[in-house]
Amino acid sequence: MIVIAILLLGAGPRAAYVARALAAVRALGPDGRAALDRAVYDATRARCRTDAGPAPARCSIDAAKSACETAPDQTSCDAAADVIATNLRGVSELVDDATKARLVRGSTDYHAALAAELLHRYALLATELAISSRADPEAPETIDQFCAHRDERPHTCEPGDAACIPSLAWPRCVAALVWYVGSVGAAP
Amino acid sequence: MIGLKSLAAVLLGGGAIALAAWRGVLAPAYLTSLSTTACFLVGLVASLAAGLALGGWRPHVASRGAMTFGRSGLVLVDDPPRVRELPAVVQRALVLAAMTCVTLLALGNHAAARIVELPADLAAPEPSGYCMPRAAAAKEQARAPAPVVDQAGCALVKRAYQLGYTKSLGSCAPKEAAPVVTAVAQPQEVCTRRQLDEPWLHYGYRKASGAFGALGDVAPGDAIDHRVTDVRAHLDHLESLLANVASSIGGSPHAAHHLWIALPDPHGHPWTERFTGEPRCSTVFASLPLWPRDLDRSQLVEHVIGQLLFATRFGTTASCNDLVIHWDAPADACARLEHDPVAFLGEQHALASVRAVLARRRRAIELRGLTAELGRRVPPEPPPAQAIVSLSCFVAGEAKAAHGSMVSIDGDAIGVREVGVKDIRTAGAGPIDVYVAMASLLAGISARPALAQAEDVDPNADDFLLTRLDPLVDADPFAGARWPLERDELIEIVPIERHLHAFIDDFRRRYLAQRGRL
Repeated sequence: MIVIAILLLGAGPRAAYVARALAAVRALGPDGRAALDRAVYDATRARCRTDAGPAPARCSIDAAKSACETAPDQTSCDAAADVIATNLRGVSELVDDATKARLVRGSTDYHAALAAELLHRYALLATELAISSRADPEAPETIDQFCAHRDERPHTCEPGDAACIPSLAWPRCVAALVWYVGSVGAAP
Repeated sequence: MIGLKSLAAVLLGGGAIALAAWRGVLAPAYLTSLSTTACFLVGLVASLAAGLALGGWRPHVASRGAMTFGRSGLVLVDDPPRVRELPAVVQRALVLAAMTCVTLLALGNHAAARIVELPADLAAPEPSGYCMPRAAAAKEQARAPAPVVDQAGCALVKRAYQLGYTKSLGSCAPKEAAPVVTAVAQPQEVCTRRQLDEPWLHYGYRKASGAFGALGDVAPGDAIDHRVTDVRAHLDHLESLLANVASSIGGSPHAAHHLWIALPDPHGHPWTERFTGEPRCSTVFASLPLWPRDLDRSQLVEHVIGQLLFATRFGTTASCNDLVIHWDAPADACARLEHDPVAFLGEQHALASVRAVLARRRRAIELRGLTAELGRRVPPEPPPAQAIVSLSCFVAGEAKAAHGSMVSIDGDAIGVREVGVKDIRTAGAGPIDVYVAMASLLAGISARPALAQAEDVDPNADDFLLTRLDPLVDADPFAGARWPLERDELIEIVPIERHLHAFIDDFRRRYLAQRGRL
């Protein structure tokens, strides 16, 4: 059975964690984000053998922690690495196998190509967030509530439809939005 | 005292002019944009309408009723001694103005053009009565660009070529596969309707010869014999043919699935339903929330039925009109059904619909035989009786695994199934029990595997919240992982849509394969 660490996980603590992660991603800056993204990706690949599917959560966490071992602010780095690790686990939901195969064939740096492809998908999600309510789309509470209630409306996507974001679990939705908003801003 | 006619003329004229002005049809720009035809039609229709109205209005005769101000406000007076009326000309003008405004609102350039074209449209040959010329042969499809053939191991060479490290792609040069053109042979339908230039006499001869089996080719005696046989066969099955027509016109049910639920009716039936009738099934289940919240036990069961069978977000639905839910059912409904199905169905007002469907099926089989006898194309066999009629019972308060038996109604074997849930909990993971029980009742036990051992995460850490919660994606409550739904802090973020979608998809695959419609 999965045992969740944070026992009192209401909307308030959730939003507080989103705020922490958002601040951590922003604080990294463009170069820091790219470096940490690469480090978590490499560590996850090396440790977790993720070819057959998403890595076990424990392994993803260990890999992300190892990428932050030398960081000056360990807590902030862990929060940003958490976002990256969750995004890695959700890749197969946003990018189909045919697109992955195209990226493998058409680029020398698969990870960079995948990151660019994912950013397009995150932009679509951020657009959905921006038009879903009048609240500030960069506010952690808005992101938390949007992701908690997004699946109440159906999101039926045709296979291979890159312009359609399927239903997403709360952690994956939050991680995608935090990464996009922290990197680019809420307005795509 | 003011005459009622004058009052009515002022109200009618003033109201119509105000409405026309509000809708903008009195604006000079709009009036100048009207075509000559539209202006003529507006004038014609308004004059006719005003003429008809004023014929009964008789503005030169004083009103027999009048309004006046009394102590308690406006008072209606019958046969007043003296009435003040507007002059007849003014009344006529007001009525004419009202009719003109109403016609202006109804008739514009588009409507006028449609009216003018109406005679030509009516005279044009209908595709249902004439053989229309076939559309010109489809244009040759533009040749699609040839697909590029991917070659294994060429990605690096292509990349090097793009970056200028090599001047030639060599064997990795793009190759194009020739597109395979497949011509699909379209069957040409022979048109037997009247040709556009065919005289009536020739068309009549063709119809007569067709009716009597090709008068020109067959001996008249044989043709008449064939026709007599045909008519006699129809007469032999006349009762079924007429009943079929009656059921088509009357809209008799295509299937009858009755479900008895031993819970109170979740709908109060307000007095207005005496006039409006009960809300339609499709209205009741039109917009169901994804997950039930704050519902009582009956509402929860109804919500589950709606999601399982009729929610469009999960794909192909069952037919809403085929299901009848009997609330407040006795706990022993299925036992009584098994003991004496006809008596119990009669008592529950369900026998008529069941018999109507079974009779319709028997007629379909009979008429299938008729078409075979006449040498015509035989329609597909109707579904078995069990697929179009079913009797099910949902019992609350007693745990019973889904089980069933067969009963005979008018010689047809019909399935009776029952399931029981000991305790219906509306909070936490309670709805999962109702989902599983109802699905097993309606479609049988699922063969979906139970969840394997779920992932364990270190409970003592206070970081990596997103990654720790991510395994919820695979923790399917329908396969056993119900604990997240029992936690108030998690229930809002459990990815229930994903698990519900998979569960209902699996259910509908089984359910729809077992059901049919006439």
